Amino acid sequence: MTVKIGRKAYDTRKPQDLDAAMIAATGCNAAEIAGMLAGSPLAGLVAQVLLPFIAAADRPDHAALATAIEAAGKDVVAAQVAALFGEAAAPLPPAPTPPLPPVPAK
Amino acid sequence: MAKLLGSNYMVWIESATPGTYNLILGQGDCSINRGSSEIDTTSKDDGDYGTGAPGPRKLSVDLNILPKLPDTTGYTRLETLSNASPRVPFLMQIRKGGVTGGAPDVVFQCSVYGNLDSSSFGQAAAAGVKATFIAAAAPTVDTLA
Repeated sequence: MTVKIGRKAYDTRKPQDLDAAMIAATGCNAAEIAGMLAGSPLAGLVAQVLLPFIAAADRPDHAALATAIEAAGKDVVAAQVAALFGEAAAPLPPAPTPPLPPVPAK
Repeated sequence: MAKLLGSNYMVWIESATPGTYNLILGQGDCSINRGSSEIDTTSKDDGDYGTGAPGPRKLSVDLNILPKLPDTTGYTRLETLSNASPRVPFLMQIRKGGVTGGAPDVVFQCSVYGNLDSSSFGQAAAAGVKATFIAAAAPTVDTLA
């Protein structure tokens, strides 16, 4: 999924362990951060939360990203990041049910 | 009987896992404030002495911190919760057991809103933060020892 901030678009990928990534960045887990994103978070928090989703090579520094988010409208970007959370937290589809074994003939 | 040492009393905040608490590193002075407003019940026929009744208590906790980073589960978590908009209440405890304080050492527990009142960067001093916790509900534990 792509997150658009002004004219710049960032390709994002789900961190392997979303909870661990959020705790490392903010001290709060994914559910707590999702709640904060639903409010009116500061641009700095939106940037802090978005950074782990951006590949290391494309990752801007925190202050530059926060400034860009503020300029683009932090609530608009926060909604996109919240959508990333929804996607990242979505459960995997259930595995297909294996066919039942044949009933032995009597 | 022995006197109690303030240095043994330390602030812990609830972690992302409910029911578990983490110490904030770099703690300095801490105080609990329990001011009470007063309801003036004086009337003209009360004579020389005014009368009053206690109003609601205003409970808050002040804490000075010299942050020791990285401290994701302590200071960073406090910073994130305090800067959330709208504010998010969280549980805090004061434990009397120093850095190894456990659940039996809890002397104060309350749901609070955090605020980082000031950050100081003195020329010849460690960077410091003054935090205030404002009660979001009545404390569930509030004793001295």
